[in-house]
Amino acid sequence: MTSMTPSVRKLALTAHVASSVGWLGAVAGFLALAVEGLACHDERIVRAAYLSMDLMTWSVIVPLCFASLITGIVQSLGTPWGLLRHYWVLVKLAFTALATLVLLVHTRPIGYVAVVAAMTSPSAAGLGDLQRQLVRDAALALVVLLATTALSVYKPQGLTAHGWRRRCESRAT
Amino acid sequence: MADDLPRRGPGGDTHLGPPPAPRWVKQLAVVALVLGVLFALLHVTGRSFGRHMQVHGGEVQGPVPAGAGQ
Repeated sequence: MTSMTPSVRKLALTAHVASSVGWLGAVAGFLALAVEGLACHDERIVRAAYLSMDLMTWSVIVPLCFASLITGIVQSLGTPWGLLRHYWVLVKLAFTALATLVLLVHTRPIGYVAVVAAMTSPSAAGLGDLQRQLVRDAALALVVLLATTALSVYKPQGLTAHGWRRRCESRAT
Repeated sequence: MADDLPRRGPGGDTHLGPPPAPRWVKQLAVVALVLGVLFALLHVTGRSFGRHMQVHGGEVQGPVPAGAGQ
């Protein structure tokens, strides 16, 4: 499927870049709130941080995550890059799929900390380990998303076996 | 993209197999594996969400401040 017209391709590319970079920025904001929630001693700020993190997860991060994944797949299938032909596209897809899975798994603890924060101090409720886990996971997500952004910009060379076969076929025809 | 082209061996034969994975893929795989193991260890050694739920039975512990839930 490489039948996108230039205008549709640019529209799809714009949607993909906007959703991917938006996801990266939202995770950076999430990390800042997670650090503040862990380090701050003002209970009101801690509560506000965790309630904001829950809201941000469902209203910004999850939608952008799926938008990035879907627009990325559409973009790759609609251009000569393909989904499985180049290692950089394949690695990016794997990272995005992994980040999506990890995000969905972590929506439950985020919601739990937010519920606790709505009623009492998370640290007083013995959630210190969970608070630290949210910081670590957000930091890892940021590293993974920075890596995918770098892959998109540098596009390091390397054809997969599938891509190599497709190229040989197209040359033969 | 010289890597992607068929190469001639010492005897002049053309190597027609797919090219091996580039070095950056292998390096990235090693870094991802190390990071993955490190985070898995941190999850196992730290008190995880699942263990917290087992200990507290999913109930929120601690005093409820006045005005909460309004």
